[in-house]
Amino acid sequence: MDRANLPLLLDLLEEKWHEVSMHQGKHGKVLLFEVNPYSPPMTPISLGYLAAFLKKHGFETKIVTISEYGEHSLNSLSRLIKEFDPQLVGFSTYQRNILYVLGLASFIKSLNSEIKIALGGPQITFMPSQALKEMPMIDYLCRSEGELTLLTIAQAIAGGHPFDSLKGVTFNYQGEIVETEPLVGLEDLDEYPSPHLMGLFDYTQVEEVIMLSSRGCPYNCIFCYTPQAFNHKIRFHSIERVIEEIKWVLKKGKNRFWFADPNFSFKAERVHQILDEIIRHELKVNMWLETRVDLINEAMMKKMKRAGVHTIAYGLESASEHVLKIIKKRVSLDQLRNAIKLAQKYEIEVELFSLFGLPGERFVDAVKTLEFVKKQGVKIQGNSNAQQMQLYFGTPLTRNYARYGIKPLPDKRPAYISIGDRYETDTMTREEIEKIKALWRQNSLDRGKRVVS
Amino acid sequence: MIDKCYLKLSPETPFEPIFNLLSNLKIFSDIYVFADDPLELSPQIFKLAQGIRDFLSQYSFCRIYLHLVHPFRPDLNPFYTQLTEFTSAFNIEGYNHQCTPRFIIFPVLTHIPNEQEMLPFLNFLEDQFMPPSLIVDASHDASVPQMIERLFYLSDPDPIVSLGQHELLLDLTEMEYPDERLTSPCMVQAVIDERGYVYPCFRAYQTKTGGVKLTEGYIEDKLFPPTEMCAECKYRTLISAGPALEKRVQGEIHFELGLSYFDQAAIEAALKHFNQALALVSEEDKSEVYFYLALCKANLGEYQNAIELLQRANIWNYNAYFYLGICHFNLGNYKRAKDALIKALEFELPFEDKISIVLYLASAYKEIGEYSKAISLLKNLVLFSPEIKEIYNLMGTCYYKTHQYQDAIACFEKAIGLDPNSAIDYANLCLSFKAIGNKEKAILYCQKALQIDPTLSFARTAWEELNS
Repeated sequence: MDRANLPLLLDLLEEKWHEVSMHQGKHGKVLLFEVNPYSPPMTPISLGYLAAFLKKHGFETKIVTISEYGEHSLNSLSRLIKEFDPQLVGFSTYQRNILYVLGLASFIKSLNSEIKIALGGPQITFMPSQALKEMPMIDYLCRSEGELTLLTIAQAIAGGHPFDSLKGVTFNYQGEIVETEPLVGLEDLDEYPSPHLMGLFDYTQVEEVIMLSSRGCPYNCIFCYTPQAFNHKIRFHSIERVIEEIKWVLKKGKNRFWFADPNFSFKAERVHQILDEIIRHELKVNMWLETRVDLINEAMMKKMKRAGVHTIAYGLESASEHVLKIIKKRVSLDQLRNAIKLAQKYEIEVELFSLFGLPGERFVDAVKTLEFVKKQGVKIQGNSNAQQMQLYFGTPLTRNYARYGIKPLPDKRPAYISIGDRYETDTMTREEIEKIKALWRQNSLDRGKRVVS
Repeated sequence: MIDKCYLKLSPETPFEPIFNLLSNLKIFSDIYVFADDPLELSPQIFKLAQGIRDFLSQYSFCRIYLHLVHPFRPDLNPFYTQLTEFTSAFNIEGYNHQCTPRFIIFPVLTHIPNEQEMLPFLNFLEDQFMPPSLIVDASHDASVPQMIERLFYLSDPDPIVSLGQHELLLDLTEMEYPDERLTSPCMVQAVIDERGYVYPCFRAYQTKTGGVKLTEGYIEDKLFPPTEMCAECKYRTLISAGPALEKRVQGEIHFELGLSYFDQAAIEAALKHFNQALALVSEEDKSEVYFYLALCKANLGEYQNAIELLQRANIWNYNAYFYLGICHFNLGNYKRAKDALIKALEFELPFEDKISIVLYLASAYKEIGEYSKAISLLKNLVLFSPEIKEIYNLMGTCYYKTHQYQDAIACFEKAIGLDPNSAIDYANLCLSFKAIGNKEKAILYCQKALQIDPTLSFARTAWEELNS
């Protein structure tokens, strides 16, 4: 209990200042939607970056988060859209939310057909352009880095020529699909203003604050979207920026951080510097992070523990060497075992991302992965619940699925949906995939079958 | 916006207004339907399912889970088979890539017979529909068939109240106490009884307060939760969870409730909860409780008690010194009041709190005759808050006491400028003019003072003196 002191006036003023600063749009208004129908509210980190960048360029922005709590009614959404009166609406789009996104886009168009709608996110980067013909409510697909691409669209709309001078975009112009030249993202990530430091996030509804200290991945796992989307490159924020953001969030009363970097420890020296700074400034943080097992060593793990890392997540994918080779994971089971042991030695919780239904994987191999996770003493819950591999647009596996023995099921699907998990393989039947899914579920600690009060 | 809907179905239930409600329902929401006899009410249930299906088909970003609460009957298989017609389109929607369909009907069974009798129906539901949930009472033994999805506890003879309490309890148990959500009002719900009245929450439904006839057009704006009941309702719901709730947590809940009532200036209610908190919280947390008990006592005018409690709390922030100062002031211990208030000002504190402290300190200086110190403080204060008439009144009084009548007159005039109905300041002006021999003005302002407040005794005395 710590309520004896009233909130300081200065803090209140600070909040107000930020609220006011959100409304300094000179060039137009952009509404951004984060739709997560199956998760509690999370920091909309990607949209935060877009909003910060647009704001820097004179646009008024607003982020609307719709989580599993369904924060709005039809009528309140309608009021919000009419009152904010945006010229452009953007959506973060994934395979799992696209149905909701398209429904919302239709709803927005029904309220005001003049509003332009842009989709971005992992589902869009490599979506076949012809899919636009099945999405008449959508005006633009953003294919390049979000900040720059959305800015070109917003500026084109503000200039009165919504389809001129666009880059990084695919659009449907009078029935013709038009592709524009791609944009290259800024090399120095610090050039993108920080949504945290600009006060764009309301942390009250989130338990854990999402941070991003780097973007991209240089590896070649054939099922993964990230290396393709970022041209196998990785870019970083400066250590100063990362520390400044951590301090800001701590000041806002949150100390649990989720670093969404695909490989947090890609540059060992940089990681040591970040951890050193956290320790030096005595920042009381609890951190979740993800990295590869070949990017970790004892000294780093020891320091991670000291700095406040409570959980480290590794990509296991499969416990069969031959499957790891096919998917080009390029780590060995020995490396996995050592990295897990190392974390456990320093009492850091380990999470393992595992998949089943991988190319070349037989049922016995899939069972081996489950056994491996159990044997390592990793709790099968949360992120350590295995998932069926998904075939997303743009991955090497999706592009050459037949070569990898993937056999899509004969369902009819719209062009904006990728194969996803609707497949079997040369080595695993649909029934076997369902069986291994059930096995994982049986072994899971959090399948939450029964609630008794 | 409506969080969830609870509907007691009857043959007379009007559906048009219910379908209109869907636009005000959260886009991902739950509807609980209570049917005493699902077969007899099947036309209504199918009509409702059809309405929801049509709504969800039009708005493909909305999701509704329909919980069908009814007693067990062994002949419900065809009924449920027919219900799948309304949901099946959503099962394959969007190429099965969604985690869960947007329209699911969950059976919830009440009045459960023995497992053997129920088993064929349960097997049917699990294979062909959805595994059901059960509402069980305290007498129910622990053996529950494997295929049961959820158990609800029958905490009240009315299943609407039981499910309402269950949902509320789930929300509350997610909190880490203290949590201000405990004392803040719940979101509006639509609890519709069999007569077609809508209530804003299950507690309002239970007490039959704030009901609106469903057929009275647009009802969202007419649904007001009984906010004064919210904190207690949540508290009772939590306590109903029984010994599962740790003593420490119960103490923190009482503390939160105390704070809530204190903020609403309901001091007696706050006091009750702080006293209960004191008996439950850890030793470490007791200081904080003593502190707020002291604040309550000070607000009730029990100054000596308040001082003792502040000393027990031993939390010496500016609020504590401020309250200590006020207590001493009201007990006539002006020197002690002065010392405490000076200590309060040594902290970095919000400006609006500073104003009150300085005013009290200046008053204390006045009472102990240190007028120049009071004037000096007030001169500084007036630079930042020129709109507070009490400053001019006090400063004028101090000037008067030190025979600086012109300055006193200027202050009282300013006070009157800010509050033209201030009888005291007119009377003060009268005395100041009287002191400098301006009888005419003294009489004028005395008249004004007595016009506003004929009972002002020192003005009456002055009037008699001026006219003698």
